[in-house]
Amino acid sequence: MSVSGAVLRRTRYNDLTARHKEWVLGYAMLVPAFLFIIGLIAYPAAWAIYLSFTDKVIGQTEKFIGFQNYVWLTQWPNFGRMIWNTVLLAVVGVALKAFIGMTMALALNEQFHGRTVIRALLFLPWTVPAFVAGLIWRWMYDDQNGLFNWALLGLGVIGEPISWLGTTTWAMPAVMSVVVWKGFPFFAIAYLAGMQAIPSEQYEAAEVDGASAWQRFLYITLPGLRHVMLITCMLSLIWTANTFDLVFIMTRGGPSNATEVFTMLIYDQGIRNGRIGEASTAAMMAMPIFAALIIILTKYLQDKDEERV
Amino acid sequence: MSTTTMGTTTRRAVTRRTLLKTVGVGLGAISLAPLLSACGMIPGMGGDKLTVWTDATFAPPSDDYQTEEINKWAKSKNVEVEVTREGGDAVQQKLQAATESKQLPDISQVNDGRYTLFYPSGIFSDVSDLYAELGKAWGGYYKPAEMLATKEGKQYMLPYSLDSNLMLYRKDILDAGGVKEMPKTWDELFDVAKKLQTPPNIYGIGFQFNKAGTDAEDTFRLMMLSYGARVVNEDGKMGNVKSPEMLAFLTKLKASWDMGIYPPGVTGWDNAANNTSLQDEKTIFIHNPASPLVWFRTNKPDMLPKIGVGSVPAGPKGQFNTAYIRDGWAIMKTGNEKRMDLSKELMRHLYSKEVYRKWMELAFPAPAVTGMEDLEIWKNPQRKGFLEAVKTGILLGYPGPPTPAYSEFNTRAPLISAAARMAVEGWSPEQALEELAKTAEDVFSKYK
Repeated sequence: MSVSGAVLRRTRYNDLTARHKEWVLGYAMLVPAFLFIIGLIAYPAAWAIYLSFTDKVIGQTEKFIGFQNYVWLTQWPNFGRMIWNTVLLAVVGVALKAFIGMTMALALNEQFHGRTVIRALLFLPWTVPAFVAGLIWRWMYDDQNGLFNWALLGLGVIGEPISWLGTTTWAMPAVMSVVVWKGFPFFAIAYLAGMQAIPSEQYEAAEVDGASAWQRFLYITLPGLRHVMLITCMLSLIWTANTFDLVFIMTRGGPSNATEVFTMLIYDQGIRNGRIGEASTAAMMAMPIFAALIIILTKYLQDKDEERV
Repeated sequence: MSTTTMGTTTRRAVTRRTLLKTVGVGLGAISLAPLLSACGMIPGMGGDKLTVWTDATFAPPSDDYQTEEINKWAKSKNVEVEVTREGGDAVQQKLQAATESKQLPDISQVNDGRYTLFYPSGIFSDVSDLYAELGKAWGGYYKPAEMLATKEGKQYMLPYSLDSNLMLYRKDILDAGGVKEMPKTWDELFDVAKKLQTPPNIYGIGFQFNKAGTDAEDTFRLMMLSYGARVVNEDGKMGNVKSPEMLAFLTKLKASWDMGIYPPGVTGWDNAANNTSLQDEKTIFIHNPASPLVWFRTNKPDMLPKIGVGSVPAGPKGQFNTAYIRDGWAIMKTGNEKRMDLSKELMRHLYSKEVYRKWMELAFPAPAVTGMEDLEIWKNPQRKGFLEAVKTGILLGYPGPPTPAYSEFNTRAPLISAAARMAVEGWSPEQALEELAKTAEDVFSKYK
């Protein structure tokens, strides 16, 4: 840039009013965040959508093939089962996490000795890396050397070892139990925080009016937590539907395809076979549902903000 | 902020605007860096440093020794080398990202599957000259190594070790049961397993009936071939999958399940579970590489002599052993001639007599080169079996050459899936055959 050009630009900038200078600076400050959003969210998402319409294989130039991958996916032998498993894991898993989380939060909202320690311990499953949790639980469920069979056989509850991860009856409940174990602290902590924000006067007034504990829960606690419950359930629904690591470590989708979820197909086609087009398609299949959930959640949060204003 | 001029320090007030500008420029630079790097404007795998991506194996002492030797070489050449060693599919995942972003390491360890998968992307440099030079120094390569490494008459990888899966069995239990040697046929194997097992303490056979246990795909493939069934023809194109031979194989597999010779949990086993079942003395026969022998040597040395090693049983139409490259090296097309030359130097060091022989003694596969048969380890009949097997082993894709199509077919674990369908869901062999044929059609139709 020439010296005169720089001087001219400097002069033009100096001619701006203070309000406009603030405006320019404000937008300039947004640039890094904007670049991050484009680079790390918008671009990869748009690229993934595009790839799902191509025959992209790692290291090779892709060709646009329209909806061929989508047709291919619907004809996948386990397509129906994969949808069912994913929905089952997400819906039942979230319901159980919410129920256990609520129970824990109610208990920990009471005054008793050691409450602080127990609250801290409650975080533990949430903090254990999924990989480690998967390995530990896999060992506990092991049919030959596992803790559960050892205990149940020792207590005489069962006569022979149960193949927890090797039968269609037990595999999904076994995986789901770990998903729930790992996820319920998130709910418990969120609900506990929500409960503490409910004014105690409401409970005192209800007690004076003769409301039972169940009625206080039903008419004060639950309505007071409905916003927290909606947010936690929606977020968890998205996270749980995307569960990969626990399923991969514990069953790899087996026995047969009893625990096969979408993320397993994405891994096999994308990582093991390098067929990124097909893997993107599998990832995109659930996107409309997740997008709808995210839109509802964002709109809800915006409405809440407006209410506060 | 402070500035020093001619020994005097002047303090300047920091305005809000100056601070905001500085932070803004800083954040902008940080946010642009990855983008610039991704666009190749900043060198990714930097400067003169050599980057080596390797796999963690089931024999950690051999891994440690190799890393130590690489570092020793680097020091002697005054070169900076970064060696990363990771387990599972980590190297493969990193290579995918590296291939797409063109930020390749200098050297990557490749097994035959990875080599077949990435070869079409053209990331491997032609090492035919070095391949020939190293091969000459060692008296040549074993046939399977040569066949796997050679693509259209050239070599783009340097095979380092060959491996095979053999039958590992409890010799002591066979001896006690009056069985003198490893059963020769599948029928004999199933009968002996039934006769000698004492469930629920010890079951006959530890083959995985679950996709997480990929060893079994190899096992069932060999069994399938021994029944005369084929997925592909000699040209590597899809053959007649729905053949009477394939049905006979599946029928036999189902019959073996119905005999109750597998631990009930095999339907949920992963790739380590067959190893641990033998190591924990819970099964009589497994089909595996030599890794459990390494484990016994370290953890239960008294059990080691009780473990027998034998060939895979024969079927009505023959007997097959497998061979595959477990460890190999690829020098990447980074475009940096200096680093590519250094990579070749490093390869010469790893293939030197002293380093390669010592590594082989610590590792569990067989070498890819022929000049190591005098090693002490091959006097051990347990290890010798593996060396003999790799010499004549068949490659993935048999009777055709290794192809990306067969690799993808194999990745889907179609034979394990068929076995699991019959064992877990009670499918008939005919139903399993139908699905197997559909899977083959789905995969091979993409590669026409």
